[in-house]
Amino acid sequence: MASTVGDVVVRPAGTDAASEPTTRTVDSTLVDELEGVEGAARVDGNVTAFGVYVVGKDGKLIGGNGPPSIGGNWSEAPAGHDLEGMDIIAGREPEKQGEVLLDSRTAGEGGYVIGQDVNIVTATDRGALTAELVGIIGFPEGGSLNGATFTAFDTRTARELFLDGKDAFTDIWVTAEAGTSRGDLAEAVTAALPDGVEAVTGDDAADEAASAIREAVGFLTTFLLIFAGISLVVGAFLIVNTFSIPVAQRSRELALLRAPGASKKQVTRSVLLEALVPGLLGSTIGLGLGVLLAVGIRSLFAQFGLDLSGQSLIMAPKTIPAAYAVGVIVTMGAAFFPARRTTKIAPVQAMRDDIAMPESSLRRRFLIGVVLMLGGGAALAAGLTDSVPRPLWFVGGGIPAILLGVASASPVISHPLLSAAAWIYARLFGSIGALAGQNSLRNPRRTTATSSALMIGLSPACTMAIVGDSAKASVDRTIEENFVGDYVVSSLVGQSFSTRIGREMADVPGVESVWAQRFAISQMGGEGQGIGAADPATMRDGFKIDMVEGDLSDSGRRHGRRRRDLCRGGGARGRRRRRGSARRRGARDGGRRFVRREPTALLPDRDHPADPGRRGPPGLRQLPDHRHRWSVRRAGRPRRGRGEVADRHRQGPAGLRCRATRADRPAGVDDLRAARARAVHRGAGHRQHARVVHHRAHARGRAATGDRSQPAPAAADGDPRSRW
Amino acid sequence: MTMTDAVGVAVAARVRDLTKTYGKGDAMVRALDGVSLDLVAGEFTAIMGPSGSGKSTLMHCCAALDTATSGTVFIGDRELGKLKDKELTRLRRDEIGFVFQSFNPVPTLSAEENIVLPQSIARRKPDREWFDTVIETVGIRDRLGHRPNQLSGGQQQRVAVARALVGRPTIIFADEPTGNLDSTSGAEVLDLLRRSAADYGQTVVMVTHDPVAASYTDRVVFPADGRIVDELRNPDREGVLDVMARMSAPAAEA
Ligand SMILES: Nc1ncnc2c1ncn2[C@@H]1O[C@H](COP(=O)(O)OP(=O)(O)OP(=O)(O)O)[C@@H](O)[C@H]1O
Ligand SMILES: [Mg+2]
Repeated sequence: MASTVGDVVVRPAGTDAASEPTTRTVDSTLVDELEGVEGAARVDGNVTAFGVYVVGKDGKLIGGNGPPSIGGNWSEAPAGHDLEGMDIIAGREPEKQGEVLLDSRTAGEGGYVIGQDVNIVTATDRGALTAELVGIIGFPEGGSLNGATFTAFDTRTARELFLDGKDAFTDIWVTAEAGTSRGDLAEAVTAALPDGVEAVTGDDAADEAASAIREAVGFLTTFLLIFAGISLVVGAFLIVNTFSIPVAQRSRELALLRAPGASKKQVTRSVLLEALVPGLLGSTIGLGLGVLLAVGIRSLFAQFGLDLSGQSLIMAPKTIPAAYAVGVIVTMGAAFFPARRTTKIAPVQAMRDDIAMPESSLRRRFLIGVVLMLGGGAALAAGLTDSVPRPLWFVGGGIPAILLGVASASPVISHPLLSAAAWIYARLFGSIGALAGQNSLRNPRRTTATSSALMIGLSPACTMAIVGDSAKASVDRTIEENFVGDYVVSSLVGQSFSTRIGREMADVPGVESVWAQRFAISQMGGEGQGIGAADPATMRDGFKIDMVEGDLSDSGRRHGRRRRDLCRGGGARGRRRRRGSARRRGARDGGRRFVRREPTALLPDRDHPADPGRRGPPGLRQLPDHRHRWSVRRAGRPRRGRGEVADRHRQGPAGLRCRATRADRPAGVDDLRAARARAVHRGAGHRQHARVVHHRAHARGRAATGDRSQPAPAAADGDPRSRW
Repeated sequence: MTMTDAVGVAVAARVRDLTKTYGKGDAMVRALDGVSLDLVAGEFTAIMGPSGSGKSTLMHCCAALDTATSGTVFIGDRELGKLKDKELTRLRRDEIGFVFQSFNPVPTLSAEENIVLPQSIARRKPDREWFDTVIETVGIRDRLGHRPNQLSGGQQQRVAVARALVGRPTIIFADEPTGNLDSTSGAEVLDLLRRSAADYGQTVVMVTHDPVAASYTDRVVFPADGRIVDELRNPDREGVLDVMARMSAPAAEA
């Protein structure tokens, strides 16, 4: 039960809750042994697996995006640590194969009631299965799975499904007797454990899990923070601009106060007070809109699959003063500087003409602008060429500097443009046009303040558009450069999926070959290292690999040694990115292979779908062998055969995604995707002829190497949703 | 407060070689071109000159509302150019009353609030009795609650005069205070200004184009092309007209 945790968790040594579950287990006999430990009230064994999807009655996948889809056994282990535990709130527990429990939210969303058959898709060898819903579990005292789905079987079925029928558990919870501290219990339990198994308190396990999740959603936080930063800069700029216009116009009115003896201080104070009110008002409204927006974004995320609805919105107390501080300070600052500007000139001068800004101040503005632009450009160049430490800071500092520089110098820069515009107006529209032209030229500050507001407002919109398209293009290119196949089939939610699908795809008429690859992240010297596994033929034909040294054909025989190298050898081996170092490493480590652009080391994998009975290389034993991701490749004429693969799997691979590996085959992808959608969601599909389908499977997990204390980094496939 | 010149007359304001130019290069205008002038304390002085002769500019520079290009201005014994902003502000507020040629009321304040603005800026209570006298004389009692945009040009001008007088400043500069007034109300305003000088010892300087208005004063100075070119003491209408004719004659011939 993933959302809660026992008092003491017994698990294979070196696991941590942050990692995705592996195929490593603890022996079930331990349960009986631990029951004898002093202070243990009860001991329960858990089987836990991820990627167990429930397909709703409407054929749609429930959840699965973001929060995990958890499967496992049902045990009545109480949650420790004063956490709300889950309990059966309706029906009974599953007793035999073909019976299943669902959490109440999943059951509700799927439209299932007790007694009905539930469609379940697993990433195991079994693929899809159907089971009768016999009970519903939930949190009687309130609580939530935070958007995760939970599917529970009886222990035997769970073992068959997820542990290859092994008489084992993923982990064991030991519940403390009243009066026994969790720490003491953990110590007592540890003393009773054999080698290779460890006991941690539930608190530690929960911390590990929490930090992993925090890390996993870290990208989101960063992204939102960047966005917030941009909004703040843009907002502040717009406010400064907005205020500089009325204050320039109001300089006359302020001069009317100055003439009968109002001091600079008084004038400034009045402007500040005036700004305070809109500042407060704006901050209040902004806060309110922000909350509304947060609600909106949350439901938007839910649409995209990142379901956060299990978590209530958090309004930290410091948000409110921070919002007011920013709002009021920016507004008052914006009002202050133009006001000070007007109090610097003689009253009559200000009265006579609200635009009578000294020429010298324009020149200074221009100079400041030019300096900012040059400095920003230099910083940007330095940052982009990596010639300084912390290049990102240079880039991040350079861009706003350029922006402010342009805005600052714009009254001067824009003069020729405005003159040209004025000339054209006069030509086209006679005296009215001349008037318009003169008006825009009369006060270059005001004119450019207006257009700067537009400029700076449009720039983030452009930024987002460009970043979005670039990200898409770079993913496309990565696929194009690294995949020889025609189509990549992957889980829609970035999860692994059953090897069975790959085998079935191989059986599709017209499929030439199906290639599978596993993928895992391992820790090497504290650094994340992607490890791919594929059989030598797949390596040779399915990847674009620069062989640095050695020969793919003999890699199969030597994988044992290579495994040791890879797993124990420590950090530097895994580093690639720079070709030079990859070459050097490759040269030293005969059979090692590097994909040129991807941070992936390749290992031979014998567990090819064509040869399912055999295990992978020993070094990869800890890669859960059922957690595969597939790439499908279709060669030949693109317009043919796209329905076939999907059609063959209309009951099976719910939530599969297909994308083209080459940009010149968009039609095929769309068709394939559409066909997939039809096949999966509606059980319909076109029978067409797929001539060639290659596939690859990726498995995610952890190799038992390196630094355990660090959570596994995200998968290297760039799909943020796979980071859960 | 005032200095005494060589002849033993107290001088409220002294202008020496005052130059003020606008613009530069070809477009440069010399509004003031080395003006020197003493304004005697307690005297009512009129400045009469052709349009564009720099009268308003001179007044602004004297009243610390504008800065001269070169030359010095003394108000009492203080040289304006050497005063800090704070002192200038206090001078404008407490010692100088100014009536702008085109009155510049604060549009958001009522007539009354405009009139007592210098006092409210200084957080002082206006002298109620004097306030009433001034209001009565300029005749805008029934318009006190109105905003400037609800007043006629003449009423605005009278509000401006009232403001300049209410604070009992040492020097009152009035730039064409009767320009928009009919002869009766104009006469009342002029009488008030004269009384300010005669009865209360205030120094009053007034720009006017009206020889009749000038005849209310103790002295008329005549600027032309940025310099003082002539002067009359105890003028009457005919004397002023004479000088005006003399001044415009060469221009007419040219
Ligand atoms: N801000 C300015 N920029 C350029 N020239 C100016 C400016 N203010 C005044 N001038 C010029 O300075 C000269 C004197 O102006 P000023 O307003 O002092 O004249 P004036 O004697 O008050 O005229 P009037 O009787 O019409 O009020 C004029 O030629 C005017 O064009
Ligand atoms: Mg004038």
